[in-house]
Amino acid sequence: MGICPKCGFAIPGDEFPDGLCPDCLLNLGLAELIGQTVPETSPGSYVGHYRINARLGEGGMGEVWRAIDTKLGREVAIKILPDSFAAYPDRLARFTREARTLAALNHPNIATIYDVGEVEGRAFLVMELLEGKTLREYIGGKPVEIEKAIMLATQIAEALEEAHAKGIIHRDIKPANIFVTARGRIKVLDFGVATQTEQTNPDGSTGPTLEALTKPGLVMGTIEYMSPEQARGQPLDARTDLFSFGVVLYEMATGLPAFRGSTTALVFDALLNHDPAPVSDLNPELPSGLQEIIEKTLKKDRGDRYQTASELLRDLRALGYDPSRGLSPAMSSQTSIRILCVEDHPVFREGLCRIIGSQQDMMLVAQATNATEAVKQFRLYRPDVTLMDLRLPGADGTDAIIAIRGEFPEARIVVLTTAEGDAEIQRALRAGAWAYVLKNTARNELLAVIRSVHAGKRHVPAEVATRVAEHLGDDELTTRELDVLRCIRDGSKTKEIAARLNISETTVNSHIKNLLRKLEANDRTHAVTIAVRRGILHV
Amino acid sequence: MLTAPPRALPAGVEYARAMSRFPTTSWSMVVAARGHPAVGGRDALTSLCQAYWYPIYEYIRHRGYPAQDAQDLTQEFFARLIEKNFAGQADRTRGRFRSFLLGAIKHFLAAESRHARAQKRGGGTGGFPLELGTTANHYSLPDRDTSRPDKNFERQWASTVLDCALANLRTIKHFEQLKPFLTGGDSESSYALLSAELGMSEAALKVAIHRLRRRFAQSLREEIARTVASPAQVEEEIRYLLAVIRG
Repeated sequence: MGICPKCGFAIPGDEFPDGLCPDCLLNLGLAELIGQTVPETSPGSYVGHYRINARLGEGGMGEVWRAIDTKLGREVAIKILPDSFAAYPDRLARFTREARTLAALNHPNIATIYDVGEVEGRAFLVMELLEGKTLREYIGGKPVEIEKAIMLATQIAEALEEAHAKGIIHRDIKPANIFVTARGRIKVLDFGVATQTEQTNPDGSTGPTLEALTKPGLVMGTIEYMSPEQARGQPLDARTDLFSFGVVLYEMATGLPAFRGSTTALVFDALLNHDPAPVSDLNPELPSGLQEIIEKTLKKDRGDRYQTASELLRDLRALGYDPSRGLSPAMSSQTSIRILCVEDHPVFREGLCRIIGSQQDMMLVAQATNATEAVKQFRLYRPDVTLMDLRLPGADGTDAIIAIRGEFPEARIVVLTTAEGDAEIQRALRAGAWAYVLKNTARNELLAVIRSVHAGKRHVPAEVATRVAEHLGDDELTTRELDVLRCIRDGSKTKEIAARLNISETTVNSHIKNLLRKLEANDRTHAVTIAVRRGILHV
Repeated sequence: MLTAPPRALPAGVEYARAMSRFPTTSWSMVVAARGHPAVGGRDALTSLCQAYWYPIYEYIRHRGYPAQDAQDLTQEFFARLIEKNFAGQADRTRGRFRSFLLGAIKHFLAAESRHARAQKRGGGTGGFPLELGTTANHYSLPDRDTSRPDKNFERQWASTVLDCALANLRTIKHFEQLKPFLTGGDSESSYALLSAELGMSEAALKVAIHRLRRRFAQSLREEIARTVASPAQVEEEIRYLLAVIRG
């Protein structure tokens, strides 16, 4: 008598055929009956506990089906990956790993992944079901209305900002991977999945596979939106997504692709060596601000582009589109400063709200009474300026500043407090506060500070600055750390930095560690960004 | 009476099991045999008897009859099925053939006396060239619950259905090597070993196993579907057989 390793059934000696477990054999038939295997998918069949309803389409990553999650009773989209993925375990493992990373993304403009799994050797992905059309269909070869284009572009940029903040690079931003729901909401699809079309070259860089380069149809659509560094097979960073975004925005603004050619080679040539036709030539009605944004995103040298999605977002929002209001009725030359007020004292908070409300060029978009709520409201409303009380219940205002700027490095926060302690001020300024204002400051001065910060200027009262400066030297970058930072800005890796500065790699890493700490940066790119913003480094 | 004495066939559970398989086309074969004395009907009848003897034989043995008597009774039972058109009275639209056979053999045994069997032996119909294997070894299989012949009958039924379903797959390439994966053994190391042995990638092996499972499941359902009144009863029958083998 044996024991089935799968179900533990005690298999009688010679009674059942071939010594196989009769319980498992019968259950195979049962499973097939109630659809628990992955057949060649068809309506009515099952993938795990998802019942397939109808085919939605097919893409490079497999078939997409409308299905019902029978456990939760909701409709989903399920993507069943082709067998070719099963043939390469490393690809499947990487896909699963990235799918898990994507599942950690929770943003209204990123298609939500619900589940990922493998059944009988076939991998599948379960996502939210979207009703609408792809951006490609939405554009349809014609310029999109300017306000709609800005609205959609802002949402795409917000999705990129979210993903980049989590260290995820899309690598395949294009209209076909962007969905416009029936309600006009953007959903960016296939985050990270695009890496499946890449191969790792001998030098460690990644680039398109030969298949992607030579397959007709697929190649043309993909190459048109590639960044130059992507086309060259160079190491990629978040800026590659920003370039691709620019290509998409160009197409939204003009109805035409930015880089055209009758052959792959011609498209590559245009992409690498030529600027696209000026958008103003193709769409004279385009606002100059939008033109500038498009031009900056399409810089061949990524060092000349927006360095982060947050920077890009800032300029998009400055164009006047207010997502909280929906489409703005008209483009206005005047921009309302959107303000988040974080103050736990109700009387003072009400006073601030009244001051803001009395101003034509300001708008209170949200309020918060503690640090946690402040972070939440910032995420939701992305204000232009945040007024932050330092002394809050629970975590203090500086903690909130650190949390907000950790996600949104471009956040402009004005500290309001009655406290004058050097340590507290220093901590807040080191956390990245743009301005420091005492609560007994005159109303007009407060308003001037808000406008000044919104215009991109920092404001620290002279007396405060003097006190803080006495301590700032403690965290100044050394000459060598500055050298390392400049090398990082230039795109050098540790080994290259070591060679360039004639120091060991260990020493380089030590300098990097120190400057990250001093700048309170999350990574090298972040450090460069902070340094540029603080005027420590210049591009 | 049998036109040919049963010849001694090689002992062995595997052979006997092969010979005792329930023909999954039993219903259609029985219907074809009824009222159709043409060649096709005769062949169906022969196949029916060849296939059904073992479960029926086992049941009779479990009812306390000695081996030889059980053998004779088995042959007589099938002869009666044809002579008295017992099977022809089976209403395909009701019940299951399994249930019908069990009911029929009980009725048969109840009506027969030892003396009646001895008298009738050798008379009646021309009999069948029923080839019965040696049965002693089968009856002596361990763990046989002799107090519950009905249960044993149904366990044998389940075994035979599974065997039939598997038989349909034996022509698949590498079936013998893939067979253990039908119900388990899915460890990475076992995949690695077998894929190396068969000269295929592990991924391809997994796909082959998946397909084999699907084909088996399909074969099993087809086997069962042929013995129940409607396709809707297939799931119920599988669940019933599960309950039977779980005891």
